[in-house]
Amino acid sequence: MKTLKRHLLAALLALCPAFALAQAPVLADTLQDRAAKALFWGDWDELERLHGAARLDTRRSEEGVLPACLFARGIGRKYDDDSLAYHEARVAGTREWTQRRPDSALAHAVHLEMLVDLAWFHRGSGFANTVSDQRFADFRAKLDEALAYAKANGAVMTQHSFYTRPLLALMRGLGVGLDKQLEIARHGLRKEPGDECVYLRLVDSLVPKWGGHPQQLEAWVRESMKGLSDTDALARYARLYDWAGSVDFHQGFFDASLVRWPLLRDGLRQLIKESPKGRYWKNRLAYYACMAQDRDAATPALEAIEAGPSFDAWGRDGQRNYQACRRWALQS
Amino acid sequence: MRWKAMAGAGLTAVLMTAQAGAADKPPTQPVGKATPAAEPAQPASGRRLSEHLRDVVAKEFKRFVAPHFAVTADGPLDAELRAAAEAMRDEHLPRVRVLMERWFGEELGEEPLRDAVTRLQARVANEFALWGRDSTGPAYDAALAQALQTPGLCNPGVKHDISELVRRLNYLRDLPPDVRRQAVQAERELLARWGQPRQVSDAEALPAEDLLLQLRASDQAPQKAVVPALAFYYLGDVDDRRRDPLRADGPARCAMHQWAGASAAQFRAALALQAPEFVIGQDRRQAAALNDDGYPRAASYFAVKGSVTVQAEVNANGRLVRAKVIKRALKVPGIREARPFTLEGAMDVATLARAKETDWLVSAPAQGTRTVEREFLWNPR
Repeated sequence: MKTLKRHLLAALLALCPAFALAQAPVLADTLQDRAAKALFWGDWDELERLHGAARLDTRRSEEGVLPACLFARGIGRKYDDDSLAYHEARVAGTREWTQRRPDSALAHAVHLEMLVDLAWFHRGSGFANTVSDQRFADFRAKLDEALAYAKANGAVMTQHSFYTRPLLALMRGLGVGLDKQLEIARHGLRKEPGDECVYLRLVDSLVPKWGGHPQQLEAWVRESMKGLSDTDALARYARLYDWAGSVDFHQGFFDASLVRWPLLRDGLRQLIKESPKGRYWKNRLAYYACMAQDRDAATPALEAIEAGPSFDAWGRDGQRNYQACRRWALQS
Repeated sequence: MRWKAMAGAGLTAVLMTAQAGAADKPPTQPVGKATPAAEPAQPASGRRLSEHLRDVVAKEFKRFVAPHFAVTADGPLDAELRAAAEAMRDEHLPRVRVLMERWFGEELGEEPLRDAVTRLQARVANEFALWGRDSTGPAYDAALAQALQTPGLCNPGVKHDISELVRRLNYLRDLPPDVRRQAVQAERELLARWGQPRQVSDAEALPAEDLLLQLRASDQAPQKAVVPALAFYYLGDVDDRRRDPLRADGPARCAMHQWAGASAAQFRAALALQAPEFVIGQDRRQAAALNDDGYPRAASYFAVKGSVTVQAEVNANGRLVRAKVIKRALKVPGIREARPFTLEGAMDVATLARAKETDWLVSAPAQGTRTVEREFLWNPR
């Protein structure tokens, strides 16, 4: 029912060009930055406003990302120079927010995310043999605190699907099995059917880095495509696999996963069609075409981005990957 | 002295034009009191500025005034506040232009003529500071006090570098509608006071920067939550990545003083624009740094003279335990009939730095600590 309402609203907005024109650049193009800034400056009311707007407006950004996912990315923004004081300030600030707005699902979910982030700050991102016993103890203690918080506030928090993000991160930290994580994601999807952000979030857990198996990832991608039109299903396939490729597989993507290049290629082309002004998907098509050694696809894809390649979309050592790809494509 | 050189470049033209104009005009006299802003621009002599001199003013206006009233669609204001800001900007900027031409006319009647532009800059900067401290009364103070209870008050939005006008209106955004409307109207009234003699609050800002440094030194979690931005900038784990609170920009200073629990008047005092950042793009720490001649940079540029009195707590070893400024008697050419609030920030920092370097042994008690007052003179060599 809620989804129907959102689609109806989106349709109404589309029928009202003046309103759509006034709103579009404000929300989609700046949402991620605005959410990140609001969190940074402790502007909880602004976060509530932005989250409300992101739930209502389903029009994608220029790069084809849903506002709800952009909002979550803003909340998850990381800074190189962060510190314990910074993480503790985020925890303390969001705790006050939950006290001011105890009925706010977003407040509780963001607070949970801050608790989980604090735990991970204690641990750090290095291999286990680089982490001291004390830091591991702090990590576990903070995760336990986060788990207790999630249990105590689950009823309020789960009103919107945003909670799936911190909760899945918490489960990964606690080493909870994938079945339980699938259950959490599906619970979120029952609340908000078709929420693409939830499908993307579970991908993080399904890659080998976090103990996932390629078949589980494949099954999840297929599940996400059910009920969609052919073109939407292709686009979904490309989005999810692209995410998996960027968080874990990198250059081993086609060997280590069950991704199928023809489907990925067609899905990327569909995404380019849907977001003609975007640069990311055009670059990704060329990137994967080279990786799949499909010269027929790579050559036009490289030509399409020749004026200004986005090296960020070319994986680690993006510029070198791009140059190597270009040399290879021009060889024949 | 890069600034002086910069001022000097424009100065030559000013001098030449002013002297050329002086041949057919009676000498100008300084005006004792500012006249209503609606009157046409003219120097005290009653003559209009020549086209060339008006261009000089236009350049200063464009460089130092107009940006502080910029209102853009990508700023943090909602549609209603943005419309109000645009209306205020459109109403106010022509008024300031008129005032600046009048003030420049007055400065051309003062010596040394070569410093007329600098004096104009000081006067305009102080007008910004007066605007920063001014209040329409208890209702406006109450509205700001209420706003200060709002988390995230200092969030500048995506575009970090927002104008002074937008910053002020942004504080009001989450007030109840009727309170907000009245506060917006008050903002409009405060702008209309530009150029008029008026009594503004002389409240001292809270030592929020010191409180933050004390918190940093304690290595303890704060009793009252700090916004993540403050923790990120000032309380970090790595010494060389921690910023100096005295170098904070507007949003960070706002957050610091909100966190410290400033009243409306204290908050306004802390956020009132300072001439060094306004004219020469330097924060208080930079502006207080000494030139080769031992005089603070900002004081050199604006030819500040006078004294600053410090109350110091001295221990038995003659070391300074803590110090605060308790009195200022500063004169700044160009700033007339008003306290030179706009240069006090830099002079306070410079004076406290001198106090720190001073040998207080003669004031040291036999044991414990002793509170003494000392006046520090600032006179250019």
